[in-house]
Amino acid sequence: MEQAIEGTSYSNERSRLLTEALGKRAERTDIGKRARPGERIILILLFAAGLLSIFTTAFIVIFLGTEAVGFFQSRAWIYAKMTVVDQAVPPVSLRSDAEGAVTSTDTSLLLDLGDQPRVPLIPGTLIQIGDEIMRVVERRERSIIVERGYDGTEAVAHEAGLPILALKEDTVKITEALGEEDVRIALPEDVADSFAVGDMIHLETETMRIAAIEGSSLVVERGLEDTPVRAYPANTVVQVERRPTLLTYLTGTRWQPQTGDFGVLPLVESTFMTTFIAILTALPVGLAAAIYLSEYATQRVRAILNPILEILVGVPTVVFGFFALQFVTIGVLRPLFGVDIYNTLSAGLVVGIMIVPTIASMSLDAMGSVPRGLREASYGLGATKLETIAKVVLPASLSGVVAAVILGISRAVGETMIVAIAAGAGPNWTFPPNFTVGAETMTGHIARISGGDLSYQSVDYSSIFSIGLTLFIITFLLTQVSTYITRRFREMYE
Amino acid sequence: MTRIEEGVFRSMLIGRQDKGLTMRRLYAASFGLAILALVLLALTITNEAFGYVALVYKIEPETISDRPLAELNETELVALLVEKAPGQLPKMVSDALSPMDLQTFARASLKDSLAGKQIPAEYADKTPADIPTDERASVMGQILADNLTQEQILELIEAAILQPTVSESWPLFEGLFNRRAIEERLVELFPDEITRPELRFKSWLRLEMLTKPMDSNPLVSGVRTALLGTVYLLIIVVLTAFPVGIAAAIYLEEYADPNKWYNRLIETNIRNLAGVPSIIYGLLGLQLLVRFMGDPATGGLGLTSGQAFGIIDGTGRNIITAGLTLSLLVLPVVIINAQESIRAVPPSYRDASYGLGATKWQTIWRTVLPSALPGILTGIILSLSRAVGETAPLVVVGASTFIVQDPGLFTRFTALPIQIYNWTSRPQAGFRELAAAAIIILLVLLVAINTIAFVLRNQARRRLQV
Amino acid sequence: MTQNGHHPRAVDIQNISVYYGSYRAVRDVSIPVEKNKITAFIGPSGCGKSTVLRAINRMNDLVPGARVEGQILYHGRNLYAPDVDPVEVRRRIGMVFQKPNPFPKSIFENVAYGPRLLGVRDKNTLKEIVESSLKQAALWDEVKNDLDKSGLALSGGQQQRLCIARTIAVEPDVILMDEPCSALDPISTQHIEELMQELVSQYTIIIVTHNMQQAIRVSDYTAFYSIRKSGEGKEETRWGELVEFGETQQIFTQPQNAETADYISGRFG
Repeated sequence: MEQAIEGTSYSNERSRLLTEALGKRAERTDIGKRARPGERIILILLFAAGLLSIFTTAFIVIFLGTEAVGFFQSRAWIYAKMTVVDQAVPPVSLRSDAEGAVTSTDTSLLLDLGDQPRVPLIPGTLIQIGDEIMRVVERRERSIIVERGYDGTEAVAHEAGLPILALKEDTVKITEALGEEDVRIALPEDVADSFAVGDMIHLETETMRIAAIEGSSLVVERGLEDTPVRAYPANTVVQVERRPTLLTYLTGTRWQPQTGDFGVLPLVESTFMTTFIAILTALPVGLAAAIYLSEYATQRVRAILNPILEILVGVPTVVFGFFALQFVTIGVLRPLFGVDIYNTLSAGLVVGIMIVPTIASMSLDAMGSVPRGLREASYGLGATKLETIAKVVLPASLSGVVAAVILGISRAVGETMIVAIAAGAGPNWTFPPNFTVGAETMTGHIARISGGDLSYQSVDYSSIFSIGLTLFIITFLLTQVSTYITRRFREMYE
Repeated sequence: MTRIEEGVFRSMLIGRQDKGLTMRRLYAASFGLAILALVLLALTITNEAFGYVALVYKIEPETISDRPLAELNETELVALLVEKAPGQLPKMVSDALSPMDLQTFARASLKDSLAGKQIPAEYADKTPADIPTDERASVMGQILADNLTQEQILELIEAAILQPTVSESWPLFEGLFNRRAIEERLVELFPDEITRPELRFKSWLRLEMLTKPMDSNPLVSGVRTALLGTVYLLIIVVLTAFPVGIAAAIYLEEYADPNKWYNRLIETNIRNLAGVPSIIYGLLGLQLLVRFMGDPATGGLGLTSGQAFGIIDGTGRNIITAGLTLSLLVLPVVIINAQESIRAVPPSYRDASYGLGATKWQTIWRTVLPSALPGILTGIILSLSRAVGETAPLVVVGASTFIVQDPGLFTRFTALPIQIYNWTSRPQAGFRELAAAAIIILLVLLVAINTIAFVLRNQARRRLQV
Repeated sequence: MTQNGHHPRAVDIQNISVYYGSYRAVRDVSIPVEKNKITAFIGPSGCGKSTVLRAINRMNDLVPGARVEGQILYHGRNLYAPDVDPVEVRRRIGMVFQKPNPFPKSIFENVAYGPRLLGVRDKNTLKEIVESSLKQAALWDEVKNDLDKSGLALSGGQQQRLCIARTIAVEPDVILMDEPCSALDPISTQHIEELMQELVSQYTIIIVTHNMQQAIRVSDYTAFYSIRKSGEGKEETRWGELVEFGETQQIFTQPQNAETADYISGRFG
């Protein structure tokens, strides 16, 4: 009872203190709505912070998209080419006996070399027999191997003894001077046919459109696109327009946008070459590390080993790039295998080291979520630890490991500095892939091209965005697949 | 049912266990590989950052004095300077002894500009500009001789008169273990014994690198401007990415109703952004921040290039655009880590706070955030470390590779990793070694950041557990 | 406290149902809670007694999708009326939870948390409030020299008393206790029970308990809840319902309902 009185006094004391400090707010039964504008403002600010990420993505997609569209509308002016007979190559003909005749499917041509000691046609040369154009693939002692029906011509049978003309490419030049008022451009024989009505051409900086083709000359509209109309002397080179199309972009094997080669394949190829080497390195190491951590390592060992993975994560990629060039290439691969100073092998190996932690930690997660019961069941049947790992844990965590590998691929594809330093400084299409020579990857190319002050209107500027979009799509899809597999995997065990 | 003989079973079991042991060693060896990679990385960097060089001089040291320079005293050395490089003496005094820059120094009296240093009494009230031209060099020389050690003056002579450049350089281990091959190579390069340079040990990592700006001569080039660039970038990231990231994490964890489509969209979106390659962020920064918000001359808004704030020659390729680009880059990582830490705060803390009549924000500010702080700090270490080493987006938004002036907010800039990248790619002797030295500085910076953050985190955690 | 004279009942639960989404977890509960008395809620697990308790200070509002129908009168005012602020409700109707949940702060800061929320900044006022709260919660003598120590460093029973001190520091009107002793040892339980007996002179207390002996020992009134079922198999739904309410003495000696009788004699659940 005494305590109760004491309690009342504490309580009254507090009521008094609160009333003094707060006034009417201390009232016990006042539960009416209070205005809290601050709470509302804070909510709006926090929401805005969350929304920022949506804007980031939207901007990425919009910018990559619009500049990529710009890229496909860009064009390069390149010298128009025509094929002419190469007078410098000594004359040869098909052998004049019965064996010299060729059917429409023969690829081996027997030659009559006359006084020549050896076949003058080097591989790669285009030759013409009758109306058919062929490409020399291989040179033998008295014969050549060719690719038939080249340049849209039809492969047909040829008689023995026909002359073989070696062809070469030459730039197309106008044959007569062109005045400011002239609309008729004179070209060498047979060349006008290779143009089409509607094509755009350039003489120096003037843009013209072909309105009609008459004999061996072109009738053009002059001074289009606000370009200055001038007079041109004979032998001015004709330039034709080259635009990228999705097809040439995705299938072309040369990348040189300024001179009209818009094939992204060399960049994609080397990206996947480095990625391939990287996964080949990282998968066994990362997986083994994960197995060790998950199944063997004691708590104490883990406490020592985990930081090693963390340090690997923390090393800046530019430092790895230095390592790839100075140690892996110059220190090891060059003395041992004589590789080029820049090569995709070294870059790939080091990218592999970089993604070991990614693969290890995701695989570790996957193995960690394999239920204990499964392992115990295996032990219960008398399996050793290794057998349990190989027959139970790994199969059960397989999709998790696959997701880890896919994420690793995505990171390797997007890695820039290692490949920019160690893989090479120019696009290089090699088929079959050659890992010992330099080849620029998508990321490496973007880094090199954007290194200077690019003009916002240049083909280079929009081209790096189109490569960026390609890269974005590839990594985005890989991340999605990885997330999807991970989620399915989790659902399986949870 | 067949029964396996006990003995057979045992021997099979031993075989199976042996195989297990082998594999176990293989698994453990994978860590050996990881450790090996790290060790090799460290050795490679050390190997390059220290080494041996053959220096060639613009003027051979032997030709300017009949005795070896090292035996000359201060006064004799200064006399050489006065004789060979009289015009450079005021700058040497100003650089070495005065806090002022050269122009201010020329117009301030010596007793002001060289306060606390020994100066000839009769000139104390004069400014360098006041001293007659024919006396100036000797007065300045006098001041140098009085205030500097012999070694310091030797350095000045080296920089001003001898002007050494690296002819050849060899990494540390080659110099230590393959000395003869190097000597032979030197003989081959310099058949004349008199002009043949001497092989010298050289530590490319020098303390002065921190205070000296970039130079085209690798012997004297420093990383001051790059280091400052990196520090400014970090400050911008800390000031922008962290508040925004933590705010977004609070929104997602405490306010967002996961049944609403837009909240789910934000959540998925952040996870996707975390997987976007850093170079794509570079492209984003280039187009959005550099081009559209940058230089009005190319159609931008002038916000990030500074025209909106009265800066005239800004291009938008500066610390601000680069810093904001890095912020966007680390934002998803900051958000995801902060979300995890906030989620880990026990719901009972929230209950207790609400039960006492706290509003939502009061609960978050007074209970949730303090409890989540150690975890949030860990996330911040991760993202800061990432920001320090990021190179690709900086290259794309247009970091410069050669900056001598300390960067301002709207000027061209460079950063440590950019410098490393640039030096690594240069063919001339000395630059890869310099890159290695810069890597060591970068790694030290990383370790420092991690240590600071680690201490902060532990303090925060201890406060929660007392 | 004159304004309370017209309403001797501190809290009057009138015919409430609690929904989670479309699921109606508790149906048609009515309980008049007398001022300065201890009312106990008993019943088997899942009967909805905690749900009703959390409805009284609108803690259920924090659960996404939770909704209350019917009304709870607090001094004659419906707690679920649109012009009522749930934050203010929780300050007047405090709560002590099943597991002691002190903040990871010092003992002083734990108790000062509520007054600080209200805007009390003066150090001396805070000190006085903290001291009187700890004294009233019978914890002062044990911690008066360690006010800077973390609340988490205390024993379980002390932590729960700290939570009670924290609750009374804002001078609530009603204190809700959700199985406050279920995580405690018998001696700590006894401390808390004694404390409740002292507090009831100033506050109205509602306690949820699993322990029927505890209900008998401490409460003046008891509400017995039970689980109802309908449908079979997949169609089956369960909900909680109030079976009987009355003076504790009467509930435990002369239950009106057969189910109550079964439960208190241990033949049920």
